[in-house]
Amino acid sequence: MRVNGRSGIQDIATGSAFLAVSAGLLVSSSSLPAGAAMLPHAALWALSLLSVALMIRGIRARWMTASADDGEEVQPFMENPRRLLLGILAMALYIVGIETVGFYISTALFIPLTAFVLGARNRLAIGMAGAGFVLFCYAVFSVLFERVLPEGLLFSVLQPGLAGMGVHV
Amino acid sequence: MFDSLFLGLSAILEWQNILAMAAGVVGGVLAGAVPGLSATMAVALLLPLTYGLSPLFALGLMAGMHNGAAYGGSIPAILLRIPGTPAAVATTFDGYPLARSGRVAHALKVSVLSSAVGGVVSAIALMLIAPPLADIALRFGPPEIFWVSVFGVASTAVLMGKDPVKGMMAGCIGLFLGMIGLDHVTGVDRYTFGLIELSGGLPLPIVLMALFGVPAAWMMAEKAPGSGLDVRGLDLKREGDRLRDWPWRDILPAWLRGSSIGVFIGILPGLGGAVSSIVAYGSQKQASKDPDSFGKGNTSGVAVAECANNADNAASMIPALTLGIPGSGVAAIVLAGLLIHGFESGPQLFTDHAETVFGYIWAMMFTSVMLILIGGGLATKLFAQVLRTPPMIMMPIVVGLAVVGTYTYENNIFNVYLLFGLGFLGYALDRLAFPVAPVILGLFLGPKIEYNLRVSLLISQDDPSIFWTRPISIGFALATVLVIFYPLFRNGAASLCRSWKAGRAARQSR
Repeated sequence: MRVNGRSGIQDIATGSAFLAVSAGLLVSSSSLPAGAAMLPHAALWALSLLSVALMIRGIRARWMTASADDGEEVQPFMENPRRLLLGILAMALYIVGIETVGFYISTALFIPLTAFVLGARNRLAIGMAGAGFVLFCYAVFSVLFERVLPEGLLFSVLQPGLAGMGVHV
Repeated sequence: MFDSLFLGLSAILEWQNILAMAAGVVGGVLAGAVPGLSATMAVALLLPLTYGLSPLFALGLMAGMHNGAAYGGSIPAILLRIPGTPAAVATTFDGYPLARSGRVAHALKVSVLSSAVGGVVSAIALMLIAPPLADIALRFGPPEIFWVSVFGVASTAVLMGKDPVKGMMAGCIGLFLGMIGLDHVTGVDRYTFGLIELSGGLPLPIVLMALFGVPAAWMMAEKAPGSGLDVRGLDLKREGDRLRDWPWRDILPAWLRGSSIGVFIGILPGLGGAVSSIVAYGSQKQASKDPDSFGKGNTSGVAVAECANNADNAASMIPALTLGIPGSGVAAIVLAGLLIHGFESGPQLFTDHAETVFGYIWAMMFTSVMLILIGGGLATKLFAQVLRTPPMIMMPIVVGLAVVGTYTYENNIFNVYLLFGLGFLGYALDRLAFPVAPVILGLFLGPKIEYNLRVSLLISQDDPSIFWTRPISIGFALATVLVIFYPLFRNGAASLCRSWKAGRAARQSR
């Protein structure tokens, strides 16, 4: 394991974050019965001590190599923040869409739109990927394994109206 | 003994049974390859269909499903970095880097051949040494299971990654995640923050998809258009991956190691393929002359992981058939299948129903061999084409697969939000170079460690000496201490060596 100034800063930040989280969890669970708290507290104490060890290592690495140009071997935390955010946002909207309009509609929209937003321009490939995936899910999960996939709130709202019109749903 | 073996062999070789085994392998590979469907689920769904079938036809189907799904899990692990089943976690470590470097056919071939070898060795173990192995398993009481589990987490944490501190932190994170939910002794909720859905704990398949699949999808989103794989590298026919060019000096020891560890862990109830493949992978890396190449596409890493998780299959049937203690979820369902057809497990099963039992054992062996013929073809001709898809299109497909797999696991939308939330943890761990295997092993073994710790203390009436006064316990306790302090010994030895060399150089210069 090679350490240098840049990895030192990352180690300090990582150790601080884990120390804060484990300390918070230890405090929040202080009222647990002794038997129930035994192993989780042991794991959290060990995590706290190891976080401190990581921070000390980071401080030493930073102090030892502060003036050197030593950026090699440490990957940045985010490769492309803007595109990462797009990916996360698309997934969040997809999950909300599953609850709202149901799995199939949401998936049929999510795959082509996300691919397009991320830069894919081959319309045939995008369309085939979306349609193929929806068909695959229908064949495997709905038909073969008889799993019920989310129908969405929209379906629940429309169901009485559609039933009243004589449409079988 | 040999009469029974031949009786079983002739029974299983009837054409209907061969057909059943082949159908089971195809179904199993497909079920294993789809995240969210597991070997246990596939065999469980099959069980009601076998009521009217002959026992060996039904057992042939089940054996095919069992072995097929154990191998099938490696296909998305190699292609997408999503383990299709928990047992395929260790396959992602080197299988995915191999696939990303264009050697997808090689990774899939190594995986299928290693699975077959593990399955055959495991079936031989079940055939020849089932009763003595079951006797060994009986010697493992709660203190021994406690230490074996602690040793599993500690060795993986210290030996798996490059950095023992981060490895041990990952192990602690896993142990903590495994403690979330209802405490079954006191009945209090732990770290659920009022969310009733968390009372049952974090489901392992969802955590797997969150820590492997979601970060992989987000990293695909980060890649600029036009980046990604060179499609020419994926030409499966032109790749020229000949068996004689494989690194056999690395693969053969990996198979030996994977089979031994897989069989040993398989007979211990409740540990399973995920533990055996991760422990075998860590052991292989430690023994290697080039440990740094692991995690970057080392062929023997795929070989040892796949061999170990398939070696677990038939071995998990050893305590099930001889003692009625199933070593895994699938073993429990197969036992139920035997019961439905009128066979009760126990030592008398091998004498009273020799034809059926040995027929089933042969089926476990034949379906392992069938993997090479059927599973390999399915993987390379059907699934491997997936990697031709550009990352911008692949990203939403991976997310869709993770989401549908997560939802169908318990038909619960909460799990999908859990997947999303844990995805951030997975992304952070990946970017900060934390090994993910100790998290998985800690999560999986945490409840077992806690249960066996508390049962041991109940047995000894709160006397902790029970953990270091039994021979097997002492052995595993010492091994755990050694493995935790191994990095210190290694660093100490390295600095001693450096100072000795520096002293010698100074003397020579004088």
